[in-house]
Amino acid sequence: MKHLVLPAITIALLAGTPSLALAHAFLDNATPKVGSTVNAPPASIRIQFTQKVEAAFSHIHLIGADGKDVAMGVAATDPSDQTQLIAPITGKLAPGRYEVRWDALSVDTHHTNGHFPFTYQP
Amino acid sequence: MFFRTPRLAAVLFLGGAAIAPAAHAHAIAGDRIFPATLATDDPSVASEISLPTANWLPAPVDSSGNVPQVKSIGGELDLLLTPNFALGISDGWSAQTARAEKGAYGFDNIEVSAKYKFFEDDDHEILMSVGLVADIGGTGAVNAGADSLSTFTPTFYFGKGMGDLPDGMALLKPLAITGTIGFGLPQSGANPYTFEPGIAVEYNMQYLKTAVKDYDLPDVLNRLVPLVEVPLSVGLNRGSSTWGGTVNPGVIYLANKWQLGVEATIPVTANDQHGVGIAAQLHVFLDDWLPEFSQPLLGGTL
Repeated sequence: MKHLVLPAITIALLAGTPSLALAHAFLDNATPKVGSTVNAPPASIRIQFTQKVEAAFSHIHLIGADGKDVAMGVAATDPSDQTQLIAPITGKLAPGRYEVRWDALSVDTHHTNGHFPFTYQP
Repeated sequence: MFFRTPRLAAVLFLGGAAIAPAAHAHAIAGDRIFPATLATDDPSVASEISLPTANWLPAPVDSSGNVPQVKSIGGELDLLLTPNFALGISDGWSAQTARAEKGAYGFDNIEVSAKYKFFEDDDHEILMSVGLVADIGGTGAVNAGADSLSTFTPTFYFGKGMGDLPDGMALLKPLAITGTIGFGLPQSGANPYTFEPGIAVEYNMQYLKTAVKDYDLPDVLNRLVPLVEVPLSVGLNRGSSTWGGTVNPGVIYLANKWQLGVEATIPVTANDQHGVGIAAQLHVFLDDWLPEFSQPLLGGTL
């Protein structure tokens, strides 16, 4: 009987609650693409997440090779797709390597963050 | 023995509480996701289920010259009580059979665990935890190898991702090392104390895609984590000083809310098993499936 404790708890957890499509918001892909070299300065940074994110608590920063922040507009989700976070680049980009730093709050309140590089080479 | 082990655990927990980090439900440090490894526990705490974990292996040659076949199936449930502290319970059932011999079947001892994550460095992708694992004697079938007395194993868990390597070594950034260092303290005076180190070296293809360079590989490849685990054990006294363990090459498929791992288990000595075995595990991140477990049960925010 004592060995039924684990299966009983597990079954109760899985059967007693409806499964919802919630999870952490991880980066799925981005534009500019992670690690890519682009020959024109991008007008924005777009990150596709694996789950919907809350734009008000999610951010995108762009750091130049000199370690200074590039001016960015406020990040917002795509009106038709809450898994996409987009931030316009308002500063001028010089040729060089850039690092995108992001943090996101998924709609089920899990927080994630990360960073990735891209290079602008006209 | 009963007094020494809980006291050690309490000291470790209290020491770690002073530098308690922000928490994630998965084993995450910065860009790095440490998958749940099969043979050596990962370095973080989470609400999660491993069910089933299945093993098959050829046991050492017995006195009749046979090679018994050992099959086992088990599960583990871990629940976050606070953002950095989790309790777990696990059990399994095994069958050992050999030609023309009576088989041995039954449950393993129930195992309970407490684990506290005391350090997280997102920039350098480092996680560290301490815990206490208790194998509760007398709760399993003796004829299936379960001990009638308990064993307590204080354990240190660590994980380090290589994402902070220089850009000239970018393709090595998806590498990570996790490991455990445990000391088995048996209640029985007949059993030896044991030193139980374990290490896992893993290459996370998802990290390559999302933090280093997106090569437009098929999604199924981007979700793979090839790895090698090496769980070892050696007796420290009472006439036991032989190393045992396995080298486990394998791969984990890491989805958003679950993962599936398969490994070969290659014995380091013939004392452990007669040949190569197989281990497989389905692992579910409870906090992503069930909203009730999206936050710790006793409060706090992830």
